[in-house]
Amino acid sequence: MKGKIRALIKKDVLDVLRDPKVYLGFLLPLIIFAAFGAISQATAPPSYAPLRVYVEGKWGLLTSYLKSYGINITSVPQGADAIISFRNASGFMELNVTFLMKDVNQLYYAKAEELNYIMDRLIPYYRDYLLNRSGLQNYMIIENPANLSFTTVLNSAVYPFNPLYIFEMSQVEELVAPTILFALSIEVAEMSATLITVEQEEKTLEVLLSMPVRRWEILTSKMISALIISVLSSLFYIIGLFVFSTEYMAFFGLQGYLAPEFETSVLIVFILLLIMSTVFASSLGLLVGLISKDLRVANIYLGIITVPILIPTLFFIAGGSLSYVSGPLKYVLLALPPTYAIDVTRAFITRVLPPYWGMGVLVSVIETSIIIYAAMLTISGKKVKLPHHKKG
Amino acid sequence: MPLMVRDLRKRFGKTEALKGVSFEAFEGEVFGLLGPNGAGKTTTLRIISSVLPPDSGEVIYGGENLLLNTNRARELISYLPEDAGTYRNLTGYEHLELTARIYAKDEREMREFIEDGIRLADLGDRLFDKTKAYSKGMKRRLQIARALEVSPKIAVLDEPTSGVDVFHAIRIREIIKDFAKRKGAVVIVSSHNMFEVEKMCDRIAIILERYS
Ligand SMILES: Nc1ncnc2c1ncn2[C@@H]1O[C@H](COP(=O)(O)OP(=O)(O)O)[C@@H](O)[C@H]1O
Ligand SMILES: [Mg+2]
Repeated sequence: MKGKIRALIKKDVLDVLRDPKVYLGFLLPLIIFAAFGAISQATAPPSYAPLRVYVEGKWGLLTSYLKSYGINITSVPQGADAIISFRNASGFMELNVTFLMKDVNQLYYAKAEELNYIMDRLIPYYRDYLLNRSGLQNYMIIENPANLSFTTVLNSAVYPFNPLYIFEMSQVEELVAPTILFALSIEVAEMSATLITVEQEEKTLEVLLSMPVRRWEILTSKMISALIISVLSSLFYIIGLFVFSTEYMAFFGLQGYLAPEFETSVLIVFILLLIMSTVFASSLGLLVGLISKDLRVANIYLGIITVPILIPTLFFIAGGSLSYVSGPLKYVLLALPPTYAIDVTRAFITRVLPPYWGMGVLVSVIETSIIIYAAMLTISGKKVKLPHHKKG
Repeated sequence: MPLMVRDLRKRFGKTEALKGVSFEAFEGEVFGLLGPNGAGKTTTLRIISSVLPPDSGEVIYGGENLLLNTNRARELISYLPEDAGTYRNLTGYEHLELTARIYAKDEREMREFIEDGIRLADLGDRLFDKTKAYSKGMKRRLQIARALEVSPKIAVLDEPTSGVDVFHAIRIREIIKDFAKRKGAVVIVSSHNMFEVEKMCDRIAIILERYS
């Protein structure tokens, strides 16, 4: 009994391990871990840049307080990260901090954090200062000598709250949007691969190849089928994102301030880039289907093609930004169509199209064409795998 | 017009699958290609049907080498692969319709093809079931109907009765014989079964393995 089971296990294990392709599958976790490590390293904001603050009006106490924290006080509001204004109502200070941001990324997050840290300590500092001054009678003023409010300016949008609030919200979106896009891309690639492998598996391909249809007609029909699948799934993604944003913003009680009050241009570019990214994934799937002789092989290759889709996903989940990433990773990211589709989701909050979107269109079109060309060569050459029986 | 196959050769890596296959098949007859498993029957029929390119050789029909004009070849030839499958979630009728649509010149011809296909398949109401519910014999009947409904000048059928029970096999052989006579087409079938070839074919060629 035991001997039989061992023999059966041996058969299965050998059958799998003797196929050199499975080692590609084994390498996958290694590649993903290494990629994740490199990406986490690369997503850190660039070396610390001091906060630049403009103070409206003259208040010696405030400027010397800020300087004690090494803050760069500018003489003009242009180029400042924050503008601090104040109003003195017989000793009671009404302070407003306006934080100016152009993007939602780690760099601005670091600045917003620092600003919060410093401003939180200003009020106790001012109270100590007042207490040290003799003769002050109004106990209430000493207990609560100032009021601090925040305004955040994100490009054209003005929000009456602390910038950290925006980061809190965008972090969830930054996690959700790439993750779901990743799942969608894999799904579409797999469905596209299946469009071809099912013909191999069910042994219908040979009939198709013998019919009076040109190879390019077969491939075109598969591509259009894959495109229909891609566009359908993209539409569901968009609807899902809308529902998510509405629900999520409602949860924060902030409808009307942030998404889903989308800019039309952002929305159009997003839909375009999303569909292009999905079509890219789908063309990879078609190619995989063509070079695989069955589903087992197709699954191994599908595992491999998750990597290019995974890299941008991890990058954005880790809070990376295209505007300050550098080195080889930058080129890798810019070469991957999903990068652009994910990057543009941030524009729902920033309301400004990311600088690279045009390049995204170009990269997607070029790469998808190359993959389709390779697929065409595969289907028209001798490369298509036909089933056969061994002699004997 | 006869179909002349001349000196087909094909290697797969180290395996020399075809070492010069030649024969001639005439209109109105069923020509049988007989040989043991691995003899090269499937490879020969794939080459004739332009599914697989040979290393060398010719397939002449109407004074033309079909191997050099695969588009023409695919219009003339209807091919039934050895273990051709079906699309699981399509009905038998949808299979007949798909093939008819691909081969027909116009809408009228397409209707004729489909009607012929329904007659050849002879599956009754089951024709409108998804093929995943079909038995092996039913699938093969559908495949034969699909291959023959388009009235090809040349029909290439690889082991048309393999894996099918006796009753279906008898019916399939009758359909093939009748098709060749009625349409005056060139019909080439392969088989590893001497008895079957004897029942169905007018002339045969035997591919023997030469161990070298
Ligand atoms: N696509 C292929 N790749 C490699 N070897 C093949 C292929 N097709 C057939 N062969 C080999 O060629 C020989 C002839 O096969 P085949 O034509 O299928 O024979 P038959 O149909 O007579 O059984 C066999 O040894 C088979 O293993
Ligand atoms: Mg065979």
